[in-house]
Amino acid sequence: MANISLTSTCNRTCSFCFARDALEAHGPLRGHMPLDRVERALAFLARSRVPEARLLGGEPTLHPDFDRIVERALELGLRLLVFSGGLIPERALRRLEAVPEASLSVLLNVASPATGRTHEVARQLEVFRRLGSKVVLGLTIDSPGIDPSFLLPLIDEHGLGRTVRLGLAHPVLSGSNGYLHPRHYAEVGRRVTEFGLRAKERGVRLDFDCGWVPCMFPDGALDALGLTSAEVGLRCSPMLDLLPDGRVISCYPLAAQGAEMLGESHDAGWMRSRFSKRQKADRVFTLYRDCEDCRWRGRGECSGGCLSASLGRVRQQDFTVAVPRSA
Amino acid sequence: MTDYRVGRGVRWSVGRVTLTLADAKGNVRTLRYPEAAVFDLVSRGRPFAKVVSLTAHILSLDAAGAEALVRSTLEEWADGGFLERV
Repeated sequence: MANISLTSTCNRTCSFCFARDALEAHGPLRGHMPLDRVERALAFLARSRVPEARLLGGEPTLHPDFDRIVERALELGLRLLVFSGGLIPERALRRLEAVPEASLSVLLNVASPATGRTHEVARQLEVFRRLGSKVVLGLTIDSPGIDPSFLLPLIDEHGLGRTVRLGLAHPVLSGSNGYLHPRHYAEVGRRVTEFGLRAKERGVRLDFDCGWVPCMFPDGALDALGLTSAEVGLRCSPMLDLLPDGRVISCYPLAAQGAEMLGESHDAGWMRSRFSKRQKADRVFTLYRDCEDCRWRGRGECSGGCLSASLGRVRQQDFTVAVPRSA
Repeated sequence: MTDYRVGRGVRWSVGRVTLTLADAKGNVRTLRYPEAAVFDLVSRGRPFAKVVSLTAHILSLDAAGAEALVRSTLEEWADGGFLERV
């Protein structure tokens, strides 16, 4: 997998956004990926034998040539996965309506009707109505109090895809975004389990984004949800995000660790191995003090959580020790 | 007097019973009790005499034994590149 960030422009202002740092770090905030670079990014997917173009932003549908990019990806036989905040401009929405369901999913990071801004909720409902089962709902959990229950009626009412993708709001290395502190993970695990069991009864499957850990769920919960600990706990590895300015990063939260440039020859496997090598020493650091004798980690079923969150526990500071001469 | 300074690029995190050290070259060492406790104390800037007295207390050693242990531990970390001699 690899994500193509078409633009740094966004029409939402999520406090937990982990892309803002990386997208603002080099160049103007309102940068769109030029079409020749989009072409190079699609060629990168092709030589990496990746069957899916995952379009990210910012809000990818705000790219002024979004229609042409969709067209080109479909011409190349790629399936499209569009990560959207749901405020899709009319022209892009019409284009997505015309794409057959077999070739498109829109992973829509939903605003809660209870807390979302009125215009955001209204536009999202319009998108649900028009894209129907092409939409998969996503929710980023940035506080322990979030209750995902509101997603199920939306799925039923609008005939959306019967999968919910849940993400945890992870910190970027600078810690400048709002994120869910790992001390709240167990509370989130309890709520998600309750939600997952209700979802399962209604034929809705849970899909977990990166950085979840098996220990956050109550005993027996993963079995009850039909999941293995490895499916949950081994989701932190270089994902590859291709940025509008041509940089390729391991993932947004770790963007500050450095980037490669999108070239003409390397493929995703080469990029991933470069980042993995750089991160090898970091992987000894884990999310919790207790990870050192964790049964899931011991069995290779958990990588120790989001690396960026784990590095938040790492100390690096100067100190000196003055040792007197021996007596 | 031999002074030590933390090695350039050395990072660490404290576990429940261990302390994990990594240097800039990717060398990793897992310290166990009591070395983990000694590193935690020195990294917090505790004076040598205080580190020795706390080590003596937690290990039920006499002062001379604790001092020898702390000195040899610091030397070992310096040999491993996690501390630098100044």
